[in-house]
Amino acid sequence: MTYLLDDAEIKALAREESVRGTLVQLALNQAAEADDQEREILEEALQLLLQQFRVIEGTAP
Amino acid sequence: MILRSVELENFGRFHAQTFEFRRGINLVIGPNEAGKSTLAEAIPAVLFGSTRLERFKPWGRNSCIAGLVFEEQGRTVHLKRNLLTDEVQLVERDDLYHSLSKFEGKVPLKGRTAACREYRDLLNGLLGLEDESLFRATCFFGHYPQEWTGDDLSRKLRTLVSGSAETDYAQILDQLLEEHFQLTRSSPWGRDKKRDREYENLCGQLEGLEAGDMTVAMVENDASSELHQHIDALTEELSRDRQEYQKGVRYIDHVRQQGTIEPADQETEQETEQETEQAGIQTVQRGDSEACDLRAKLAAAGLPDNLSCEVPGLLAEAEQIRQNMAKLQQPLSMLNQREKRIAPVPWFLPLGITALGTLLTVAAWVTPFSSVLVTVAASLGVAAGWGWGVWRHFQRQKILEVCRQERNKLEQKRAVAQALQSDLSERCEALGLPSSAIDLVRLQKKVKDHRDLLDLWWNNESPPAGRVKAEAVSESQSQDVIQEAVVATTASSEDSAELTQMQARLVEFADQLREKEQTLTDMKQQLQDSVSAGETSIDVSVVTLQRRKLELERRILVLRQAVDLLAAAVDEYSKSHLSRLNKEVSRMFSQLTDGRYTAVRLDDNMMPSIQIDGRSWRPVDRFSRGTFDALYLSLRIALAKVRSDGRILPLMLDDPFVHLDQRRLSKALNLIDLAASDGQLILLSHNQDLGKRAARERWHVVSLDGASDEALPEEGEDHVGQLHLL
Repeated sequence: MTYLLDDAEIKALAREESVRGTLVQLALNQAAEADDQEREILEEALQLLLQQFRVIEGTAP
Repeated sequence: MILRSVELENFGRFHAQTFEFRRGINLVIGPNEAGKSTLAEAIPAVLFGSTRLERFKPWGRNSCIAGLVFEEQGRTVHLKRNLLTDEVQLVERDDLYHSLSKFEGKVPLKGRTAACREYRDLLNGLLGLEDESLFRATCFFGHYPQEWTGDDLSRKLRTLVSGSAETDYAQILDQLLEEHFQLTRSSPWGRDKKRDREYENLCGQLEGLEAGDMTVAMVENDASSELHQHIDALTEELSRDRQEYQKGVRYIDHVRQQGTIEPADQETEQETEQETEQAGIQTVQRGDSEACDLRAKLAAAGLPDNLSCEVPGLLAEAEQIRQNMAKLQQPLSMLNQREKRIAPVPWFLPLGITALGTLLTVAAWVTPFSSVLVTVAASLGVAAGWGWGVWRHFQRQKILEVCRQERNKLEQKRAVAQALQSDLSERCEALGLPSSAIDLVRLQKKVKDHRDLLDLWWNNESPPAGRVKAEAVSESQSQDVIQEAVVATTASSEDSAELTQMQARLVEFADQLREKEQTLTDMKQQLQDSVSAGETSIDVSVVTLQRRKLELERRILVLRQAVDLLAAAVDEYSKSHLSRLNKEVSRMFSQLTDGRYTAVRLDDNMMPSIQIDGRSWRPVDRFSRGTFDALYLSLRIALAKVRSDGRILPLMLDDPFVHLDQRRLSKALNLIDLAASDGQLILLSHNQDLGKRAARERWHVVSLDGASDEALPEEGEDHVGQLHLL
């Protein structure tokens, strides 16, 4: 069980006025109504997307 | 970024002329054919290239060159293009004249070379524009302004509005979708792909393995089949040899009973046996005290005290054989079900067709209809019916043959397992163990639960254990005893040469028998090992495939979730920014139409609609040309205000008010005045009234009445426009 969506950094991202912020906000909204299994998938998808964003921005490790 | 100057060399009617512009409103005024539109068109032609060279290239000239100078706080961009060769030079410099970026290369209008991509990237970075259509849709307004239509343009406009580079998100989406469709052909967003992907292939493999096809194929190989034949042959040979050996033993006993053995020898033998027994009894007495407790514990655990130490190995072997047999049951039962599912050929259909055809033929012959035609048709129908029936029959036979072959393979494998099981049963019986599967399972559980106790019991070299072992000797061990007895007999009956020779041959025969038994045991073990290894490898591959299947299912779910999430986020983000543009354009359009239309809406494809009577929405193309122009002018000005990258670009208006009435013209001028307050607007017109307004409003004026605006005063001098007009 991961807790990515409970992370403070994620909640800060959700306030960002950008596609990424909207994305995180949507994920948080969906997670609020999801069961454990759906939440895990959601978190994994969000991690994947955030990683892709980092690649685009050139900040990926 | 404002346009500081346009330099034209052999461009249209301009041979070598430079037009300078300033921040705010610039009015380029001149009569028809003065070159206003040529000047306006020079800007996109330099930026992106042009295919309308005949319009710009003067007759008899070998060059057609235009240049632009853009300026922003702290930097200047010089752009120059040879319209004939499409050679472009771009230099960006800072205040200290240091070069910040530079490009030189050939960039035609629709070029796709690496140089073109490099140039467009550079242009996009500098101006936020990379193609002509977007420039004309946002920064250019002519007699017939470019509409906001087309998927590509609407996508670029949305990107301008939202600030999110949709191309980047499209790239992420493409990557996610590509990975998704590498894993599976199934698509939740549209039609499935035709070709199976890794997931579908994996499912197919797993189904095959679970149906047992691969099990049979892998296990029943040539090597095991050959081994199986050797075992059969050796078993038969051993059976014959054992009978011969028994005959030999019985014959020697018979000879001895005939009195060839001396009584004294018999006594000696009896004494020897008694001594051995006595020694055993003494050993038993020594170990009795230690064994007593163990025996009691074994009895409490429900285990007999005569269990051999070979029992665990034997039980493990029994377990393995039992599992093998159980595994064989599944493919067999599936095969049975498959055979049951093969439907019999519906022969009644061809029979029915035949009967019908016959009836029709008879009817045709007794009625005035075309009897030959009906007969031919009926014959064809009957032939087709029987052909179909025969085809179905052969198909069925083919499937049954495949099933039969599979069944044979499974039966062979089961025969091997049964042979191993019967051999095991014999060995169990020899050790005094139950031979039924249920009893063996129970015993195995007990042995497993009390293994420590049994190890202690077997390690304790007490006489009972030794005696038990002696009692539970295998057949070969019994033969050893017989051999010893024969040797002893030989020693005691040296006077009988014939008997000695027979006994020697018997000993030799017993040796051979033991060797064969050992060989048989080794071969059986080898066969069992190969079967177990084959099944183990299949088990391993099934487990591996199942694990991979789960991994794939999860990854596919994650990818789908990611795609949906990103698409929804981009959409929502664009919509939120689109609503800002809607509000801004509604405000401007309402102002321009003097409150007649108060609401404008852009749909997802950036197509504008106007609300009428506060209720229904109507597409803009259903309105008059004046309203149409007013709306697209409002859209350009509104977009310049709300575009998210914050760039300020010059807005070119080439006679934009020709379709506006006097009232709207006045409103439009107020609007562009407002729009130019913090940017740059270049208005090209022949309207002399605008010249008067320019003088009043102190716009910068460029006259095209045949001469350039030479000796322009410095920016900031308020009287400049007015003086120029005077």
